[in-house]
Amino acid sequence: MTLVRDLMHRGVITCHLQTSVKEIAQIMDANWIRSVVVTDDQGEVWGIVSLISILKAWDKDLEKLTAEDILQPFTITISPEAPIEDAVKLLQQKRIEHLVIVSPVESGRRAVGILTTFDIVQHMAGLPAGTLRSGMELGR
Amino acid sequence: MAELVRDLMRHGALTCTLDTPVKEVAQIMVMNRTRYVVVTDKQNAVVGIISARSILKAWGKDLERTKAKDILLPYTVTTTPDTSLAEAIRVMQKRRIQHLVIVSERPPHKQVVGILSASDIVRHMARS
Repeated sequence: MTLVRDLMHRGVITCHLQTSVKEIAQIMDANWIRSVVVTDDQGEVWGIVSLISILKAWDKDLEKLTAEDILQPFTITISPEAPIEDAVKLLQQKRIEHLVIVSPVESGRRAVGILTTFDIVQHMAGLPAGTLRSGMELGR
Repeated sequence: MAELVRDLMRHGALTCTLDTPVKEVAQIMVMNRTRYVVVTDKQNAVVGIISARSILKAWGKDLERTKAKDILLPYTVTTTPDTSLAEAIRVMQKRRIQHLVIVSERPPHKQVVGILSASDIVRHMARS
């Protein structure tokens, strides 16, 4: 049986609650990523900022708005040990693209990884390793 | 002047037909590192779009027998290169979609001319 931990990305790129939306857009641009995990001073997860969250700020002052203003609160949890079917259901029901995976052993909400809809599509495509185009190409 | 879709859209789009198996649609996405495939009919007109999340609808099913037409998100809102970016972004937020299919303003009807993606908009916001 495939588990969340088999398909998730380990390690996450984070920003602080007070990081400006402009800077978050720059973090996404520079790192070719589509979501940033928002943490507080203690490194605990508060939520996630996705591409769609950033669009909310389209006509606003990107320097003044912060992660706290646009984040999707971290309310949906899943264990790395959960079957991947559970993650598929959650992503569909909540109409989201990313699940933050928190450590099942450490205290507090420590992000250990991210599971995206694309990770699951990759699994479903069943392509052999090495099929991907090389290089840091951003999935459009 | 208000910014238009044509300022940020990418010309051209990856497409499949209504009867393309979901397995193949997933492979098109992975091999091209995109999160969408546009579904077109025999006249090359857009019928809908498949996102990474649409593919999940086929989880647990036979991916060779399930076709693009079974999982697509129907194309309902017409967006052209001259649509304002603000309007396009409003549609993306409302429908929670990261890609909009851009169609030609001229006949033949609903011919795909490009894609507007949330990642391209965010890149624009990061750099401007």
